[in-house]
Amino acid sequence: MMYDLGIIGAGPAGYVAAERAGHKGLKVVVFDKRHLGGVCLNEGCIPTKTLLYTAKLYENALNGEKYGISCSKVAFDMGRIMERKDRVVKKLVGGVASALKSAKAEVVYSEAVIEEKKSDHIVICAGNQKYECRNLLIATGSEAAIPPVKGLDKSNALTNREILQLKEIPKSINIIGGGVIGIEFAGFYNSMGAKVSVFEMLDEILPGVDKELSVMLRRELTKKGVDFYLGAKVEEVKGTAVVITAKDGPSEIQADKLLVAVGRKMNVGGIGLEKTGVEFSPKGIKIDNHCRTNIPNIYAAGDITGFSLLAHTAYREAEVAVNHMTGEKDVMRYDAIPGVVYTNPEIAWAGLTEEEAVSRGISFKKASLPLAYAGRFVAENEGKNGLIKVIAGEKYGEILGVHIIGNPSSELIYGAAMAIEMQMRVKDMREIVFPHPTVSEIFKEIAFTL
Amino acid sequence: MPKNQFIDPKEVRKAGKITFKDIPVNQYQKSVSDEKNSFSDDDFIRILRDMQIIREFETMLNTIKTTGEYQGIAYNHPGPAHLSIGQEAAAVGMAYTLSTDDYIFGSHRSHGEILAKGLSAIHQLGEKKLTEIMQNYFEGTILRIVEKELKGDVKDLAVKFLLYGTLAEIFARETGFNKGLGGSMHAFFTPFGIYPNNAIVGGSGDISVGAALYKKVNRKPGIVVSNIGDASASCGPVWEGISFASMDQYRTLWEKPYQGGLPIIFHFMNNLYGMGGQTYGETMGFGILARLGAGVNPDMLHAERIDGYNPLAVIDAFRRKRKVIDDKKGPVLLDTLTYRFSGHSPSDASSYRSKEELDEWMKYDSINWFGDELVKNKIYSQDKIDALKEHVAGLVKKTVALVTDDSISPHMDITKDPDAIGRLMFSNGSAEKMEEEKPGVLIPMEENPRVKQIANKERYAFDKDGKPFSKAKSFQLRDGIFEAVIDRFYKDPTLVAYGEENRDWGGAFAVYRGLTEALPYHRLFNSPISEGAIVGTAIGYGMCGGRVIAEIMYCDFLGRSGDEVFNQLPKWQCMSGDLIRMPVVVRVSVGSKYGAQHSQDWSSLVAHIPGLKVVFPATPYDAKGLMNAALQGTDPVIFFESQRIYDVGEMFHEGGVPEGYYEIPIGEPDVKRQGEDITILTIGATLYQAIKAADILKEKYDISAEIIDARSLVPFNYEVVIESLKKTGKILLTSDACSRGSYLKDVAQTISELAFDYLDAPPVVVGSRNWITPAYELEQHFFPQPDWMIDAIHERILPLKGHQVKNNFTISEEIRRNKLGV
Repeated sequence: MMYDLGIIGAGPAGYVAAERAGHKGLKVVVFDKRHLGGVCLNEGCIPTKTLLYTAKLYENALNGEKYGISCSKVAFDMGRIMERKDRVVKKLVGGVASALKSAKAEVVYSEAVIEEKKSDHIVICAGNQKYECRNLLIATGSEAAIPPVKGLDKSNALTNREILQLKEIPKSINIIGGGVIGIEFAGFYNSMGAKVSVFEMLDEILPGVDKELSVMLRRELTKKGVDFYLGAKVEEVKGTAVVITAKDGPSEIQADKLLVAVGRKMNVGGIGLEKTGVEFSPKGIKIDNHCRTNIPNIYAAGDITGFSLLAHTAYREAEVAVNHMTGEKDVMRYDAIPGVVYTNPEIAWAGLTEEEAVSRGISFKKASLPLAYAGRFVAENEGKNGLIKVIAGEKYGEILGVHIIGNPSSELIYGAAMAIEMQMRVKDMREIVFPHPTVSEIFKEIAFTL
Repeated sequence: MPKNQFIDPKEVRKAGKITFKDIPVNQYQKSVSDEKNSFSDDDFIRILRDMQIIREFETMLNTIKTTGEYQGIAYNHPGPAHLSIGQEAAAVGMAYTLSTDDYIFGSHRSHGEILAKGLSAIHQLGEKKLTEIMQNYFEGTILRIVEKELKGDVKDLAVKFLLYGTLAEIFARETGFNKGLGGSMHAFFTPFGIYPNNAIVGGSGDISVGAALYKKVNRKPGIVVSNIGDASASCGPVWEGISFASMDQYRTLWEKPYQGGLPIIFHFMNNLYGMGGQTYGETMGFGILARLGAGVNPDMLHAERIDGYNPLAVIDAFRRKRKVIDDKKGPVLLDTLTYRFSGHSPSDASSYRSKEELDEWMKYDSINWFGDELVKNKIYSQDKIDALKEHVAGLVKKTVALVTDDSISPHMDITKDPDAIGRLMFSNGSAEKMEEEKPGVLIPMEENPRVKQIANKERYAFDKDGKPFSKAKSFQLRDGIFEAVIDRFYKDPTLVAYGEENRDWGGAFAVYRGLTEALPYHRLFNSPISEGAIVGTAIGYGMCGGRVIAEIMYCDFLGRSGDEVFNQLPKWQCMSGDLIRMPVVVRVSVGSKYGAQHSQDWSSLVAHIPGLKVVFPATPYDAKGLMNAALQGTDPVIFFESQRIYDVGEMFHEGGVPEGYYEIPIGEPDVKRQGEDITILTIGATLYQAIKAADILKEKYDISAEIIDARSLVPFNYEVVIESLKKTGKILLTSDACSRGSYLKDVAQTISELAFDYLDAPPVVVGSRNWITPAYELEQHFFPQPDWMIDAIHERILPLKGHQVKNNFTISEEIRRNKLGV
């Protein structure tokens, strides 16, 4: 039987594509060797954010004094926390299953391999059955990369997948990698009482995030007791202990658990791509701005493209691919994709950093304001600081980048993304009415300082 | 009439041996005293004077190049000047016995030969003839300058005319012999029998043979002398020219009045060096160049080594060899030993030879020796010799003063006349015949078996019910070419055709079948397998005023005649300053089915070179009309034919192919089918694939395609295409040439600029893959197919509802392939 679209991988890219395509009347089959929802639902976004909120509640309870609330004997039950996490995941995975059912997309829980590319369709083999698909979307995503460090292998190192199965908070934990994933876990385990050490090769954590904000977050976490080793090259791992070279010689840092979060590895292998002529490398599958590979009826979306490793980018890439397949005009754009670090405090941003604008030779003006300029922030963040920074084009004032540290920036940042996508200028922002009192009013405030 | 030259295995398998005669080396050892009976005093003095003029002229150029001035006149000449100081005796001796009916061709180092031949002509011609020549040359422009500024009697004026015209040409003046467009290495003056020298080493090797062919075939008086250098003996064109000139068939097959080898002397001005490489002892193996004659034919090309440092030896050699040619025993090879004092060029530091060698040769300076001989024999006193040298120096000085005066000898004013050079690229002439003689034919045209066979053919491909006639019954594309060619053979007496397997076989693709019956050997013959000489001789033949069709059997063989096609054929009309015409048609057959080296379409390479008209008809009607136009014109035309469609009938022209004469203007594309939604432009046989694609577009997607057949590549009228685009707004271009560097990419890019406002999508080119051409069984993956065209339209121009692509025209794939260079 001939399918209009075969999708390998049911993560954010895969399942969204299946939904959209199904609702457009395409005959769809989606394959996954693990579970619906991919890394995001099962081992990434959802479980980590569930746990991080739990940690936030714990922290708030412990620090209620500032607000005149006294709590004693504040305790947590890791078993129940993880159980709840599992329930949330299960509920959302179930939601995806229903969505796919109503879109009439067929789901096959098997590893899928491309067997043959014919002139007008692709033959996929999954679970001893063959599926003929006119179009193919590759959404096999990524997994944690294990760097080639002496002594480091799957037996002693945990990645996001394994650590989310831990039933207990370790006394101490070493985290190799100071990127978003490493820092979020650092924040979580620190809030839950573990001694955390973070090892980052570059000279600042959160590469790609506005430097000023990264420094502020690091200082905050340091105050809370996290140790940071910057510019640290990990020479060797001995069990869960990390050996780094520092200016005065090697040092060895012990811990009970070791988490590796140095980046992601694209899942290009084992799916039979070589049979198709698709252009790919270990860095991922190359796509054009319609999310199409160099082979006419083969598309790729999500982490497998190796470009913007975010679930929300994956959703959009999937939609662009499905639109192109069905002859609908659509083009993928990357200028206004928001990012969030779900630590406490949160960092959220959309658009260009200062550093990026400089390296692209863009003339810009910038302004920063403490979040305290928004009344509600003061009301709800006792003793805390926040910051918003906006850069806008020099000549026309079009908003190029917005960067915020402080809660609830993750819920505000969509507004910035929208402004950038619609090419709003600073003076347009001044004319928007924001609800008072909310932290979002900071947008209006800063619009008047630019 | 098939050749009747039975090869008897008993004979050729007999035991025997090849013997050689001795080749004379420097046998002439006479001097002035020995030759007083053969030359008058005036003759001897004239020889000295001619040598001195050349010496002073070349020295003047050297002085200007190295010091920026000459006898007080400051001048900067950045252009080339390959000087022959020291070689005067050979040049003067060569020219001494030649008349203006004798043509010389030269090399990059031929100033001396030009002056020697000119002086010799001036001495031989009467005053009336000289005056006539000077008055008619470029409407007397040069004569007026020389008359006004220099004055003198006719002979005197003629010498000044010669010096002025040559120097002005070298200094790129519009008043030079070739309007300044030829320069030092391409200067010539045909009224004196001075035909072009050639900047390409050995370039004259085969072109001069074409001139000799012209003289023989058209029964013109005179011989041809190819003045080439010793280092050119390693060049293909020279070897191919020698082969071509010494073919057996001239003796064994050609008709009585045309029998005998070509009237040409291959005159090697052997100065023992190439640019710096020493032919004797380093870069060549023959030792004494005359040895080469031994390997060519039983007559050993009558080869001799002559002492070119003695002008009398050279004169003697030329006298004797002319008789050889007059006795129909040519061609001849002469190895004239000489030596140049000057370097390869004025910037040459002569690091490749020792000062001792140079000094030693200077001791034997011909001018000093000859002068001493004249003094010794009391023919001319030393005082008179000194006075002569002074007089010559004064003459040259006056010439320099005139030529370097911008008000008298201006350069071409391209600002005032922007078209000055462009206008000379093509002569765009129209000539039914190049001469008024009666064409030599064997039978009346009506009696020709092929003509009779064609008379019964259907000249339109379809019957009244629209059903196609069989191939055998149809008037085919090859018949269209044949009709144009045979028609011209009966009109133009100078027309000749040759190539590989042209006679008897009738051409590898049967285009010439029937011509063997109609034409004598001297008008249709088989050339050796020498693509270089096939085209090179055609150039020489055309340059002399004859019309010629040269055939290259497979386009893939074009590389073999690379220099001739890229450097010679396109350039002579303009380089000559509009002095000569080039009525040469080169028929090139584009292959298929025969793999990588027999199936390529290189029309794009040829279209890139300025100076060539390029056509590629795809229908019988177009083929006949374009061949008629090409054979009526006076410009070089590269005429492409596709082996895929030699047998195709006329499917487009109402009423079929007309029986009489008609022309299709070169440069006009033709709308083969009208349409509304998209334009498809094709070159060559791909027309028929495009028609299939257009039919599918109509049937499956209700899209009507307008099909334009380019017919010509150069020139090309864009207006036809732009008109179509105003209607459709979209265009696909397709031909069998590999897509990278294809001429269609040039057309597509130009269309983008000219018709941008009318375009809804970029112009897209579908060409062959950038691979070797595979075997016939795999050809459909290499050459453009109808479904490729439809997929390309869907991907890049106009998405077709419900269409599923089979081929890969994605942007990423295009980028990937280009990264790989594939």
